[in-house]
Amino acid sequence: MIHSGADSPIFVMATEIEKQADSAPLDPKLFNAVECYHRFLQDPDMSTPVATFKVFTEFIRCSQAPTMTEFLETLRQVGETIQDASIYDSNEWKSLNNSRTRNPHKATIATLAGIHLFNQFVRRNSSDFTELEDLKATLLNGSARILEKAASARERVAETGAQFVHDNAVILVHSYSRTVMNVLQYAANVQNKRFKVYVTEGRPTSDGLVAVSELQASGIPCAAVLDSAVGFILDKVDMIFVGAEGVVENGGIINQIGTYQIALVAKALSKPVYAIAESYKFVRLYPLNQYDLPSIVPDIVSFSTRRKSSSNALDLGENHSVDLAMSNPSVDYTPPQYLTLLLTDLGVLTPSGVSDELIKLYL
Amino acid sequence: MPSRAKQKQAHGDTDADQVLQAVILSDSFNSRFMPLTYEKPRCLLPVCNVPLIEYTIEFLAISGAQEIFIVATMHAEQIKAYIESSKWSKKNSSSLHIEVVHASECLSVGDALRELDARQLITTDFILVGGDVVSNMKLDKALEAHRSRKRSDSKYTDKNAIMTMVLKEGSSYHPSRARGEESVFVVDPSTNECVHYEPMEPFPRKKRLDINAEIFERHAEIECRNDLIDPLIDICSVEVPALFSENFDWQHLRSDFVRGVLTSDILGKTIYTYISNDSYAARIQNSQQYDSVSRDILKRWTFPIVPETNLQESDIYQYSRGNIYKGTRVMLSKSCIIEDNVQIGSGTVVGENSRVTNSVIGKNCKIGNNVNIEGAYLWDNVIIEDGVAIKRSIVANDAVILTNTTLDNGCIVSFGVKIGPSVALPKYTRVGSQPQPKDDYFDDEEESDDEEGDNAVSDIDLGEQGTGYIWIDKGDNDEDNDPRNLKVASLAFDLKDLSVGKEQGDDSDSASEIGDLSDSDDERDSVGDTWHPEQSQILAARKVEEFKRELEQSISRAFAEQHTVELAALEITGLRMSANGSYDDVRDVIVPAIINQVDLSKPMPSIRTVLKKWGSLIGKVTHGKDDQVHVLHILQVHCADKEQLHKLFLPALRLLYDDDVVEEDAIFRWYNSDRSKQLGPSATALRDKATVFIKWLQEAEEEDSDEDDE
Amino acid sequence: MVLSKALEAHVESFISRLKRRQIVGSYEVAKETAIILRQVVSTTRWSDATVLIQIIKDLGRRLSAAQPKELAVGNIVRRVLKIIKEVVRGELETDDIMNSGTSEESDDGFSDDDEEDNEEDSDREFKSILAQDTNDNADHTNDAIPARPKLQTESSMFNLLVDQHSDNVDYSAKSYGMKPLIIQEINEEIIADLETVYKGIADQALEHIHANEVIMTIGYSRTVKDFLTKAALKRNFQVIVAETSPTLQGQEMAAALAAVGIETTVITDSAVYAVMSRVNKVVIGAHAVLANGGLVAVTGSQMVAAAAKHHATPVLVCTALYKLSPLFPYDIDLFNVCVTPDQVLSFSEGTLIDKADVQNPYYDFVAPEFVNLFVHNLGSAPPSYVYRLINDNYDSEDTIL
Repeated sequence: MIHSGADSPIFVMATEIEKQADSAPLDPKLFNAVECYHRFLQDPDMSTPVATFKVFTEFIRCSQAPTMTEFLETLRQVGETIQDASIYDSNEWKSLNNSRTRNPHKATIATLAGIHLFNQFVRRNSSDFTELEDLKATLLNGSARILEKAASARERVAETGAQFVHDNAVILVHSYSRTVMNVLQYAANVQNKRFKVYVTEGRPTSDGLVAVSELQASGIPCAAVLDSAVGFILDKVDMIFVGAEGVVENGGIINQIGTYQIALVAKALSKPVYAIAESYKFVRLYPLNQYDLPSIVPDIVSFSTRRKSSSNALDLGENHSVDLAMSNPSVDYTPPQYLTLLLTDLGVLTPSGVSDELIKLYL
Repeated sequence: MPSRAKQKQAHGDTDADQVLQAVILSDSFNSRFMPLTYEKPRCLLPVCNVPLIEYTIEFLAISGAQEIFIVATMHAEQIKAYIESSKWSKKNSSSLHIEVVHASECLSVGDALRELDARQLITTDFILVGGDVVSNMKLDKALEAHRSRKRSDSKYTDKNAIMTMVLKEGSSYHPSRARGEESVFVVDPSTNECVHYEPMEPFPRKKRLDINAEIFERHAEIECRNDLIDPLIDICSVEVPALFSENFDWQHLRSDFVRGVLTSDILGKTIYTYISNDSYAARIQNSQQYDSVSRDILKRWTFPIVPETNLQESDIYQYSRGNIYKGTRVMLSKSCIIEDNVQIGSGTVVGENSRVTNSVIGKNCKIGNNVNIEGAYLWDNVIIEDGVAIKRSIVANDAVILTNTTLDNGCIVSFGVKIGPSVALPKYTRVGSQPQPKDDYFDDEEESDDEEGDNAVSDIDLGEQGTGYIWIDKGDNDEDNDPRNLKVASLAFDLKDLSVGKEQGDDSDSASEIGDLSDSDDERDSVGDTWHPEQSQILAARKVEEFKRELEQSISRAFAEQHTVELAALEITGLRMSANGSYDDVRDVIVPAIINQVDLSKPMPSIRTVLKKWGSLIGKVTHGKDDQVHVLHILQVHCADKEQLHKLFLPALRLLYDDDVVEEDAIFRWYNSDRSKQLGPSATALRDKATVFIKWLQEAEEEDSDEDDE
Repeated sequence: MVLSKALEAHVESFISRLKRRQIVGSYEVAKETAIILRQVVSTTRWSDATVLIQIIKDLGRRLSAAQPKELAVGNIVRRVLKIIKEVVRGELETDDIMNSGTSEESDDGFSDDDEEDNEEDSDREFKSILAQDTNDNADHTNDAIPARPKLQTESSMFNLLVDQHSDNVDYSAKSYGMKPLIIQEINEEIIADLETVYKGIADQALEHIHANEVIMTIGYSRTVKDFLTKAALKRNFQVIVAETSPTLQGQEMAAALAAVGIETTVITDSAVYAVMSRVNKVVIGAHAVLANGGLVAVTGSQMVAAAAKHHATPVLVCTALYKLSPLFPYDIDLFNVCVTPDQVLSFSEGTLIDKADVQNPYYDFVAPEFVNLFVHNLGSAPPSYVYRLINDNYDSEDTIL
C-alpha cells in the first residue's frame, strides 16, 4: 500500500506510533476514540472529517496527559485508531450491505482528510507553546472556530454549486452525496430553479434510491437509472454532479465506485462534470492510479485470490452479492482531466487550483 | 446623454448648436386604447413592463435631447406625477431637463402645437414625437441633415425646409406599420424631399394617387413609397408651431400639416424625409401595434432597448435563450412551460402545468395551475386563477380572471376588473372598470356613431363574480369615418372576423354601416394592389377563391343554423367587404348553394319553402337588371349540371319571379341573350323549357299594358 | 449616495452609456471605470478603509449591473478593491511579521512567471513607499504588488490554521496617509497598466510568430492587430482573416493589416474549416477571459477554435489582464449578448420576421480545451494557469461584488 508522498510528516509519524502502540498499553482514553467517533457519526448530517475533528476536540478536553510530548503522542494515536476504525468500518459495512442499512460514513478517505487537517493544525501550533494547557486552550479554541466554519461550509458549497444549475437543466447525479443533495435542494427551494435529475443507483449500496426518494420529497422531478445505463441516458443530460469523499492534490477526486466511469463517459460525450466538495475534504494524497489509495486493496485486483473466489462463485447463494461487494472496491479515483470544475465552499476551483489550496495548508 | 465633456465640446464647436429641444405629445387624441386610457394616459401604459414614455424619453436622450417638453392633455396630473418620480427628474445633475406642459384644452395635435406656440417655449429646431415612440435610432444624422439644409454652404441647401420626417424602411405589409393608418410618401430620392403625402387607409381602398403635375416638372425623379413605417418622429424648425397658429384649422400633423404645406403654393415651405434602414423605430398608436412593438422588443429588434437593459432602474431582468426575460423572484412551478418570447416581471408566480408563450407578464402577478397564456399582455398584479386560457389579449393592472374563464383574441380587460368564473369572453371584447361614458371623450364636432349610446348594453356575460362594464368600440372622430380602419388596427385582429366582430360587439350599428358603405363598394370590383402589379393578379385570383370558399362555409352555416336572411346577408356583406369580393362572386356561390338545399325527394314543396326563405337573400345581392340576368345564367348552368336538378329550373325561375328577385325584363334579356343559348345542350334544353313561361310572361305583360292603356 | 455631485453625474452618464451600448469594448470600459474609481477615492469623504471599500463595492455593483456583459467593469473594481486592501495591510503589516513571513515564502514558490515585471514593479513600488513609510521593510514592498499570491486573503478555513487573527485585518483603523498611496497605486497599477497593455502583448509577438507562417484570425481586435503588426516589422508571414459575419469586423481587420503591409486574405466564415489545414497558428482576441480559462470572444471564434483543434493547430489568445474575470461560465449564454437581428435578416422583411425567430448573438464562448495559450500583457499562460492569474489579480472575497 503506497501512501501519499513518503515524506509526508503524518505517515512518518504514523508508522512510528504503530510500533509504539504494539508495545505500550494504550491509553484508556483511546478506546473511547473509536466509540466516540462512531457516536458522532450517528448523526447523519455530520460529515466524516468534521466527526474526526470532533473526536480530537473531545479527546483534548479529556486528555490527562501530563507532558507535552505525551499529549502529542496520544493525539497521534487517536488519529491512528480512528483511521483504522474507518477502514475496518468500510469493510464491515460492505459485508452488512444486504441488510440495506445505510451508513453514509464509510469514507476512509474523508476520515484521512480530517486527521490530516487536525494534525496539521496541531503541528502549526505546537511549536508556539511551552505550556501544555496553553496549547490545549489554543487548540480547543481553534478547532471550535474550524468546526463553526465547517458547519457553514456545506451551505456555501450549495450556493456556489447552485449557480451552475440553469433553468430546465437535466442533471445526472451519482449515488447519494449530501453535498450534492444540498446543492440541488438549494437550487430548487431557495433559487426556485427548475431542473430534472437522474440519479444512478449506486451499486452495491443502492444509495441512489435514497437520493431519489429525498429529491422527490423536495418536489424535484427525478428518476433513478442503473449504473450500467449511464451511457444510455447521458445524451439527455446537461451536466453531471458528483460528490467527493476526498479531493486529492492534483485536483482529482476519490468518490464512490462508479464515479470514474461516469466521468469517462461524460468526457466522451462532452458533458461537464462538476465535483462538489467542502474544502475540508481536501487531502494530501497524490494517487497515480486506481490502486494507489490508502484503503484496503480489494481482492479482485490480484488474481491470486481469484481462484478461491471463483470456486465460491459457483455457489450463487445469498452471500453472492456480499462477496461481490467485499471483493470490489467501494471507491475509485477520478483523475483531474475528467473533471470540469470543483465547486467548493472556497468558490469555484479548476482542478489545477486545488493543489494551490493544499499547498497553502501544508506550507 | 452625452458626458459633460462632450456637451461642452458640442457647445464649443458647432455654432448653430443651442440646447436641443424636443416635444413629446403625450396625448394620442383618439380612443384606440379605451377603456384603458380612460384611467391611464396612453404614454404610461406599460410596454414590456416599462411605461411607454420611458422608451420615448430614452430615445430622445440617446439622440442628445437636453430639454424635453411633454404636452399633456388627458390625465396630465398622472403624467406629471410620473415624470417627477422617475429617474429623469431624480438626477439633479442630469443634463436632461423635462418639463410637463399642461394643455388641458387641446383636442388635437394642431391644438397642442398652437399651445406651444402661444407659450413660446420653443427656441430652436426641435424634435417632435408622440409619447408612444419606441426607437433605438440615433437622430444625429437626421439632425445634421436637417441643419445642413439651413446652412448656405451645404450641397442641399434649402432655406425653406421646415421639417424632416424620420421614416423607417419596412415593407408594405410590415406588421409594425400602423394598420389602418398607412400612408404613401412621394419622395425625390436625390434630395429626400417629400413632394407628396397620401394617407392610405385600407378602407375604402384608394386606387389612385393624384400628384400635382408641377411636381414632375420640378423633380427629375420621384419615388412613391408604400413601404415606410412612419413613427411620427419629426425634426421641426422653429416656425412649425407658428404655422399651426396661422392655420388654425390644421388638426393633424400628417394629413393636415404635411399635406397643407406640400400643396400650398403660398407657404412655399418644403418638407424632407430621412429614411433610416438600420435602426428601429415604431409607434404604438393602436393595440395592434402594441402587440407588434412588444414582440419586436422581445425579439430584440430594438436592441439595446430590450428588457434586460432595465430602463427603469428598479428592474433587473435576465435574458435567457429563446428570448425569455425573467425578473427577480420569479417563481415558476416545476411543471410549467415557458416558451419563446416571454417576459415575466419580478415577483410573479406561475402555477403547475401552466403554459406561457409569446407573452409579457407584469410584476407580482399570480398565475394559477393549468393556465394557458398565449400572446397576451398581463400588466402588474394580475391574478389569473386555475384553468384560465387567455389568447392575444391585454389584461390591465389588478384585474382578476377567475377559474376556467377564457379570453379569446383581442380582448382588453381594464384596471381592477374581475371576470368569471367559467365564462368565455368572445373576441375583441373590451371590459372597462367604469361604465362607458355616453359621449366619446373627444367628441367635439362629429357624431360618427350616433346610434350607439344606450343600446350598447351587451349580452356578454362577465360571470357570476364579474365586475366591469362592456365597452363598445366607438371609433374616432377622425375623418376616417370607416370604422373598419379602426377594427383592423386593434389587437390580434383577424381580417376574416370583420363581420363576425361586428355581430358580437355592436350589432346595432353594423347593419347601417354596411348599408352606407355598400354603394362605394360597388366601385371596387377589381381587386388589385397598385404597388405590386406583378403579384396582383395571382393574389387577386387567390383572394377570390378564398373568398368564395369562406362564403360557402358561411352560407352553409346559415342553412344549418337556421339563420335569418338578414343575418346571413350581413355576414355575406361583411365577408365580401373584408375580402373585397364582388357581388358577382357572391351570386356565383349562393345561387347554387340555395338550389342545393332543395330536397330532391319531394322537389316541388321543398323548392317552394327554400326559395320562399332564401330567395330574398339572392335579392339582397342583386341590384340591377344585369345582376338579375346573371342570376338566371347561374341558375341555368347549375340546374343543367345535374340530371335531377333539371326539373327544378322552371319552378325556381317562377318562384324567383314571384318573389321579385328577377323581373320580366331580366328574364327576357336572359332568354334572348346569346349566352343562354351557348351553355351546352342541357342548358339550352332548360332554356327551351322556359319558353312556355316566357310566352306566358309576354302575354301577361301585354295584358298589363293593355290594362294600363285603358 | 456619498459621491460628490459632479462625480455622481459622471457615474450616471457612464451608466447610461453602458446601458445604451454607446461605450463598448472592454478597453474603453475598463479605462473609464478606473478613472471613475480613482475619482471616488480622491473626492469622496471616507474616514477609514472599510468605508472606502464599501463605497467602491456599492459603486462597482451599480456599474456592473448597468451592463453585466462588460466584465471589464467588475474586473477593474476588483483590482481597485485589492489595491486598497493591500495598502491597508501594508500599513498594518509592520506589527505582524509572521504573516509577511509566510507570504514571502510563498512568493518565491510561484513568482517565476512574472519575474521581470515584478522587479520593475517593486522598484517603482519601493520608491513610492520609501517616501511614505521609511521604516517598513521589503515585505511591505512585495505585498503592495498585486501580482503576488496572498495566502491571508483567501477565505479558506485553512487560514484559521495558519493564524487565527490573520483574516481580521483591521480595515477600519484610521489611516491618514492612505489616500495618496491608494490613488498612486490605482494610477500606476491600473491606469498606467491599461495604457501599456497593447504594447506589452505586442512585444511578445516575435516569440510566437515565425517567418513564413500562416496565421488565421477572426473579428477585429486591436490587441491582435498590434500583435501582428509588431511581428510584421521583423517577420514575413501571411494572415487569413475570417470576415466575421454579420458584423464584418473581419474585413475591417483585414484592411488594417493590409495597410501595414501584411499579406492578408479574407475568407468567408464558412471557409474557415477548409482553409484551416494550411494554417500554422490561430491568433484571436477575446472580450473577456473567464476563470476556468474559457473565453468570451466575437461570434465565430468557437468555430475557428474547433476547426483548429481538429487540425491540431495551436490557438493563441491575445488578451490583456484586465479582461480576466474571476467569474465562471455558469451558463454559456450568461455572458453573451444577443444584439438586434437586423443584420441577419433585415427588419424590412416584414412578413417573414413575424414568422421566424431570428437570433444574432454577438459573442461566442470558447471552452478552455480549445485554447493553447493566453498571451497577456505580462507574459503568457496556458488556460489551466488562468486561476493563478486570477488569484494574483483579485481578492477572492470580491468575486461576488
